[in-house]
Amino acid sequence: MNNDELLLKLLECVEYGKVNKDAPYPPQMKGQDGADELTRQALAQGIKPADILDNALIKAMEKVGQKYAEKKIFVPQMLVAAKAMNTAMEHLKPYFSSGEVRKKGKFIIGTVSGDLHDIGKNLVAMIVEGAGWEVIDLGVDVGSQKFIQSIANHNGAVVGLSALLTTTMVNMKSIVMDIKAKYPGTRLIIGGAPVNESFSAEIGADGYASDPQGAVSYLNSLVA
Amino acid sequence: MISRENILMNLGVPSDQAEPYLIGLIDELTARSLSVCSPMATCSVFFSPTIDPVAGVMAINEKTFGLNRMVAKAMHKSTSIALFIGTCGPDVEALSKSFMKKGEGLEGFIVDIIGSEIAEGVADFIHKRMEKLLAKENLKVTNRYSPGYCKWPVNDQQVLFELMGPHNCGITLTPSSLMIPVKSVSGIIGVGTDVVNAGYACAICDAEYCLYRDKKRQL
Ligand code: B12
Repeated sequence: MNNDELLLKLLECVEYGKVNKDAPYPPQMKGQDGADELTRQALAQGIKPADILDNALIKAMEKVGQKYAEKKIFVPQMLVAAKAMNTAMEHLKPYFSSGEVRKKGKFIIGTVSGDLHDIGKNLVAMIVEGAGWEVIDLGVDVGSQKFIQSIANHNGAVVGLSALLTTTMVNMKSIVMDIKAKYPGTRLIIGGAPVNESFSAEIGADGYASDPQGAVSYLNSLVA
Repeated sequence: MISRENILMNLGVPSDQAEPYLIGLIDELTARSLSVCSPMATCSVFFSPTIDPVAGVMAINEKTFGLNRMVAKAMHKSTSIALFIGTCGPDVEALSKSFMKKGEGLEGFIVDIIGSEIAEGVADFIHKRMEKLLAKENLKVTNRYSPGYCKWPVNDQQVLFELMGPHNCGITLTPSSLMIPVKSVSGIIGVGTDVVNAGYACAICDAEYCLYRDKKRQL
């Protein structure tokens, strides 16, 4: 395979969630090389890591996001695609630390204090990571201090807050205030079933999204 | 008890568009979750509650619940009140987390949903069991309600747990009144000759502004 063919094949693997050769999914690609093997091959063939990232992986996830928005695929297919993406990313790791390639940015996410609901937050974390962001997941029951500490360690990171209870969504307000007081430039996006756009504006957050794809669009708009 | 349909709905997949691979995975993970879960429930019946539907409060053994008007109205004609606590146990949660840690997000997500289904299934089991047993004595049961539902503040879980004493299935409450293990449900069911089980809760709830109104489904 020449370089272009290889990148195209890799793009297809990520788009359809073909993780590696042994992976049974998707059935129509059974027995074929997956994102794992093809990324290794691409590097061995001398394709630049930045090309692999930009021309195969990111493009694939853009297609996935598009298809999800058009309701042609659903959350499970997005998660398998994100897994294929992350498998490929593992091989690019050395180039990230050397600075040769960069992720789009950093995203700190956590479920706010008092709340233990984390499945929505986990979904957002996985899909944002799959879209090429470095994700720092602080877990559940996270208060202002922990967020602030993490921002100190990850300069310029965007912060995402999640809440599922009407009793804990109010904690978002003080967390947003505390973060903005200490790091006024920090961008904050909130989400979770009980919150909405107007609540986000009311508490001084910068954005709201109802689902992971919305979070990706918001984040990408910041670096566009 | 665990329905594939419900799991697909929670995954956001229309059932006519589920790939065979996904169905297979759901079935496999359901079997695995059921083999590690430890569902458990307790239920205590308290006689002669004092219920004020106008003020929206209910007192049992001198402990007061701020039920709110809608739940109080639904409980109003009960001659006794059953409190229950049920859980799926900690192991399904742990299984979900272990998948997530390995980067297997889809598997982790499905197992999390199954854990919720089991917890809800336990509450459903208690509810149906009570309904059946009490029918023999010509008694009926109401819908079940949980602290946190329909304007009933979640911190009333503290009162509920106090009344249940040691019969708490090993569940503990956080300061924000949530239960650990997470996959747990608590609530009340009214009992009497003149009460009704009105089924779907949004239909009878007057919280017009509720953010969850008719959203997905009520637990
Ligand atoms: C599943 C569920 C459960 C399960 C599991 C909960 C868990 N933590 O694992 C079980 C059955 C155990 C349960 C129990 C309880 N629950 Co419950 N539960 C739900 C239910 C039905 C769905 C939540 C869910 O998992 N959704 C699926 C995920 C994927 O969606 P999501 O979290 O909304 O996330 C999406 C978006 O919001 C967004 N998003 C989320 N976070 C973020 C963050 C950012 C930055 C962005 C951009 C986007 C984003 O993207 C996600 C993916 O699309 C909701 C009702 C509902 N319809 O939401 C009630 C609900 C949250 N529960 C409720 C309550 C009250 C309880 C109990 C306290 C009841 C009780 N007394 O027993 C207990 C508490 C348990 C405990 N440990 O203390 C209430 C809360 C009401 C309130 N006042 O706020 C609700 C709303 C039900 C109701 N009818 O009132 N629950």
